[in-house]
Amino acid sequence: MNDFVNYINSMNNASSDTVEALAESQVLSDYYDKIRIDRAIGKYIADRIKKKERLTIVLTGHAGDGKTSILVQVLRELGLLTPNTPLKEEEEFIKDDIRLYAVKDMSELSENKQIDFCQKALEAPQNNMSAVIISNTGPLLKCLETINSRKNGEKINEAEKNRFQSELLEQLDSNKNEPILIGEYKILLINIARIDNVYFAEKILKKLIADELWSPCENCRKKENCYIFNNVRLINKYYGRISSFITAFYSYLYENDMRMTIRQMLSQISFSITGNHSCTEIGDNSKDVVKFRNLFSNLFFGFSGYDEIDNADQIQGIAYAKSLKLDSKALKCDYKLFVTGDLKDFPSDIRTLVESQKNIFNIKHLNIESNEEKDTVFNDKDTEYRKAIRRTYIFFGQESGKADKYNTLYDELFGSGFNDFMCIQHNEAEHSLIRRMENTITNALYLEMTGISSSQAREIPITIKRNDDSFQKVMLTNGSLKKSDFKIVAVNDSNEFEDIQNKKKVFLKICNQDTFRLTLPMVIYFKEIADGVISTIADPSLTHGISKLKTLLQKNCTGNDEITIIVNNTDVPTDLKLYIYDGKIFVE
Amino acid sequence: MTDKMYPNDELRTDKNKYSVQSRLFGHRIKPQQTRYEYLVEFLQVAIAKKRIMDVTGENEITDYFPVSKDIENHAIEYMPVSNMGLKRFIFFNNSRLDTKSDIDKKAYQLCLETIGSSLDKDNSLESEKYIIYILQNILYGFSIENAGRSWFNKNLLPICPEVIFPESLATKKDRSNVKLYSEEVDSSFSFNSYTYMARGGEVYYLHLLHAVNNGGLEYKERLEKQIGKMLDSMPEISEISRFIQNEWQKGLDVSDSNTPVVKKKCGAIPVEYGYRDEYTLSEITTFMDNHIQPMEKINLFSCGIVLQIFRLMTTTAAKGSHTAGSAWVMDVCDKNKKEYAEVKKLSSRCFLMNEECIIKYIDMGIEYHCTKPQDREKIPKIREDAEKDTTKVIRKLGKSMGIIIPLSGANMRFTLSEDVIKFLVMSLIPAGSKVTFDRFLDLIYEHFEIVVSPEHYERAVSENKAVYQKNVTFLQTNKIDFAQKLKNCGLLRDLSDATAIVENPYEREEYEN
Repeated sequence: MNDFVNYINSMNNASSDTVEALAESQVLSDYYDKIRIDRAIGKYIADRIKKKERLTIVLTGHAGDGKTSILVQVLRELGLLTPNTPLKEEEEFIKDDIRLYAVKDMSELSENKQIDFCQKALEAPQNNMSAVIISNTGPLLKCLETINSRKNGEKINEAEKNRFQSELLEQLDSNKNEPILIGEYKILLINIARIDNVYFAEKILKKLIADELWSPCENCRKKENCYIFNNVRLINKYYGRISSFITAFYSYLYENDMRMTIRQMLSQISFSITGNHSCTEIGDNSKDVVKFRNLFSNLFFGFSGYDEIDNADQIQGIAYAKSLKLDSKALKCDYKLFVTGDLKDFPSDIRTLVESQKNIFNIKHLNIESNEEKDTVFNDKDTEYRKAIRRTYIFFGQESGKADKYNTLYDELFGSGFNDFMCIQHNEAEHSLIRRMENTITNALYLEMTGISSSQAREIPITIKRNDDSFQKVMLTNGSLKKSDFKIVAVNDSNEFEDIQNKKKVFLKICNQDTFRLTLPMVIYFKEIADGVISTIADPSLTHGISKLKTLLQKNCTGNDEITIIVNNTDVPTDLKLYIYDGKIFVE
Repeated sequence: MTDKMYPNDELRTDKNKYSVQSRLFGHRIKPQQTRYEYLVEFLQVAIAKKRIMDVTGENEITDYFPVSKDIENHAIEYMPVSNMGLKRFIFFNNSRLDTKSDIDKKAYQLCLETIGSSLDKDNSLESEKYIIYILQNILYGFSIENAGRSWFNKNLLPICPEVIFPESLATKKDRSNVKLYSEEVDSSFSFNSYTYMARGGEVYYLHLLHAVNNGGLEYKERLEKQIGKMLDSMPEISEISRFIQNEWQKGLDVSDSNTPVVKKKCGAIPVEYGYRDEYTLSEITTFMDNHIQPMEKINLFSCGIVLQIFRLMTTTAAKGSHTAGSAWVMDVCDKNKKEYAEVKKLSSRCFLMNEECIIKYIDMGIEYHCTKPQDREKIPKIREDAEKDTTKVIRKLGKSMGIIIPLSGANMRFTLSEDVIKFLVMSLIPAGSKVTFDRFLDLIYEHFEIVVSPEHYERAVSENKAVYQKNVTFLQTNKIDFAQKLKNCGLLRDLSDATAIVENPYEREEYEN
C-alpha cells in the first residue's frame, strides 16, 4: 500500500473525496512539502517585507492558482510559520523587525468582515506594518469599491464608479509592479492569474513521480501488475516526451485564454497517473489490456481504454482535452498506424501494449475467430480504437530527429504555426523562422486587402475594401506598405512576479512605428487565410480582432493627393494613379 | 393604444390613412428593404436639405437633425440630390436588360463620350475604354447586392454623400417621349415609389430626430459631426463621383440641374418609440466614436440600425399587448454540449413569444383602428399584410445578418453573429474602455433585452419580459460559450477567478473643430 496514491486521488474533483484539494488543508499534510513548488513572487514579496518596506499587497487570482500557497511560502521565508500549522482567518505576525498583518482568504468572510479586514490592511503601513491579503477577485473588487466610495463621501456618481472599476481592471489586466491608489491608500495589486504558470506542469509531473514518494511500491508484491506504478515508471522513462506534450497542451490552452490553474493541472496529472484507483483495486494478474486501459495517455484524456470515464469531465483539463478533440484529428502517422499496421514508431514496451490492442481489434475486425453467423457483426469500435492509438502516439510515439520541445506533431494537433509561435515566444527562433512567419502574415494581409493571393508581390496595397465577401475588380487604395515594413519582434515583458524570465510577447511592428500584439489564435488564423481555408455563413470563422490591425495599417499609410487604384486583372494586379485636375482625368 | 404619432400631421384624412402596421410600428417597414438600404435611406434623410411643412416655408434647413417644437405636428419634407447621371454611369452596364429604355441607352452613351473626352489622352498609357471600365468598377465595387434590379433601382453603400441616391422608378413607356439634351432625361422618374427604399430608414431617422428633440439635445452636435466624418472618410470617391456627375451635366448641356428636383415627405412613427430615445442616442454616438475602417463602420452601423429597430418593435408590441415575451434569448451554445438541446428549446420558445407579442399587438391595433364596416370585412387580409411587414421582416433581415437561425426549418431562434457582437461592444463600451463580463451582460440586457445567462433570464421573468421556466441553469453553459465567442472575436480576456473583461479595443475617432 502506498498512502501517496490516496493523497493524490483526493486532489481532483472527479470523485467525492476532495478534502486535500484546498491549500488550507494541504498545508497540514506531510506530502504538501514534498510536492510544493516555490514561486518567484513569494520570494519577491518576502524580500520586500524583510527590507522593512511597509506596504499593502493584495494577491488575487483564480481559485486554485496557488494564492494561499504563496502566502504560506512568504510566511515560511520570514520564519513566521512552521510546517503543519494551520492558517488563521487574519493574523498579526510580529517577529524582530518583521511586522506583518495577513488575511488568509477574504472570500470566506462575511461582507462586513471583508471590509473591516481590508480596511485594516490598507491602514497597515500607517501603523508601521506590512499587510498581505489573499482574495478572490469578485469579493475584492466589491470590497475595494465600497471602501473607495466611503472615502469619497457616501454617494459617488456612476462615472466615478466606472472610472475606479476601470482602473482596477486595468491593473488586474496589465499586472504591473506599480502601486495603485485607493483614496489615500497605496496598494500593490497582484493578479496571480496573469502570471504564466504553464511551466509548472513539468515541475508538478517531476515532483509527483519522485522516487521517494513511490518507494513503498518497490516492495509491493503486486508491483508488476499495478497499472498505477506502471504509469509512474513510464513517465520516468519517457519524461522528456510526456512533459513536452503536457507543456505544449497547457501552452495552447494558455494562449487561447483557457488558462489552467495549478490545482487544475495537479488534478489532471494526478488523475492521469492513478485514474482515481486505489492500491486495493489492483488485481493479481497482469494483463496488457488492463495496463493499456489505464495508460497515462488514456487517462489524461479522460478515457479508460476506449470508453469515456464518468465524471472525468469534472476535471477542467480533461474537459478541455475532450472538447479540443485532439485524438480525433487525422495525423500524418495515421497511414502507418492504421493502414500498414506499422507500429515501429512506438518504443518496445508501449508497442507490446499497442500490439495487444491491435490483435484484439483485428480479431474482431476480420472476424478471425468468428463462425459464419457472426460474419455480419459490425465492428463499431473503429473510431474508438483509432482515437486510443492516437492518444498513445501523442504521448509515446517517436519521431526520429525532431527536437521534443517543438515536435512537428504539435503543429498537426494545435494548428499549423503553433511551434513557430512558441519558438519565437521563447526567443529560440532562427532568423529564417521569423522571416517565414512574417511572410505568412504579409501574404494573408495581401489576400485580405485585395481578395486575391500573391506571394510574389512586394507591397501590400492598403485598399478600401468592403467588409463582406463581394469581390471588387477595381479598388481604391490609400497607398501601400512594403512587405518588408512588417517585422515580428519579441519583446521582454516579464516583471519580478514571473517565474520564467525568457518568455516574450510577440508583436508585429509596422513601419518601425506602431506595434500590434500577435496571439497564437491570430497566427493560426493568418496561416489559415494564407492557406486558403474558407469560412461560410453557416460556419463563420471568428476573426480574433484582426480588424484592429487593419485600422492600424490604414493609419500607417497616409494618403496623398493622387488617387491610387489597384485593378485585379486575370494575371497580375495593376497599380494605377489617377489625378483629376482642371476638368480632366490623368492616368498613370 | 393612441392615435398620436410623431410627427402627428394629416394622418387622419382618408387618403393618407396608414396601415395598421404603420400606425403601430412606424411608416413603414417592408421586407424588400435590405439592411444597407436602411442605412442609406437614413443617411439620405439626414444629409438632405429639409423643410418643416407649413412652418419653414421655402426656407431650407441644412441641419441633419433640426430642433423645433413644430416637428411634433408637422411633417418633414426632404430634398435629396438625385445625381441620375452618376447613377446611370455606375449601374447601367450591370443591370436588368428589359427595363433599359432607348433614351437611357442614348444618355449612357452620351455620358461615356463626355467622360471619354475629358481624359487626358496625351499622358495616358491606357485606352479610353479601360479608364472608363476602371472608373465604373471603382464605384460599382461598392454596390449593394441586388442583381435582379433595374439600374435606376440599384444602390451603392453609403461611401460618400454623392452616391446616396434616392430611389427612382421608370417604365419604358414613361421614358419613351423623353428627348436627349433635356432636363427630363434625369428628372422624368418617379422618386416616390418606395419599393426598396421602403421608408425603413425614415423610421429610424424620425426615431433619432425625436430623441434629439426630446431631451437629447446634447447629442445633436456630436452625432452630426460623426455622420459628417463617416461620409467624408473617402474623399477620393467623392471627387470621382463629383467629376462624373459634373461632366455628365456639361455633356447634357442643361444648366443648373443640380437644384434638387426630388421632394420626399417623411412618414411618422409611433410615440411609444420614445421610450428608447436615450438608449439609441447613446449607443449610436458611442459606436460612431470608434476609429475603425470606413467599410466596417458602414457594415456594423447597418446591423446596429436593424437591431435597434427590431428592439423598438418587439418592446413596443410587448408593452402594448401586455405580453411577457420581449426578451431575446440568444442561443450561443456549442452544439456538442449536452445543454445545447435545452438552450435551443428555450431560445426558440422565446422567439415564438417575441412573435406572439407582435401578433397580439397587431390584433389589438386592428380592433382599435379598423372600426369601419368596410375595414372589418378585410381583416384577414389586413392581418396577413401586417404580419408580412413585421414578423416576416424580422425573420428575413435577422437571417441575412446571421442572428436568426436556422436559415430554414423548425426551431427558429436568435443567436449572435460576430458583426452584431462587435456592434454591441462598440456601442455599449466607449472606445478604448473595458468592463467586466458580468457588467457587459447587464448592459446588453438593459439596452437590448438580450438574455444569455440564467441570471438575466430570471431577471427578465421578474420584469415580465420572459415567461417563467422552473430551471434555467443550463443557460450557464450558454453564458460560458458566449464568453468563448467574445474571446474568439478578440474582445474578451479572462482576468482571474470568474472575472473576465470585455474590452473595446479600438481607438477613439478624432474630430476637427
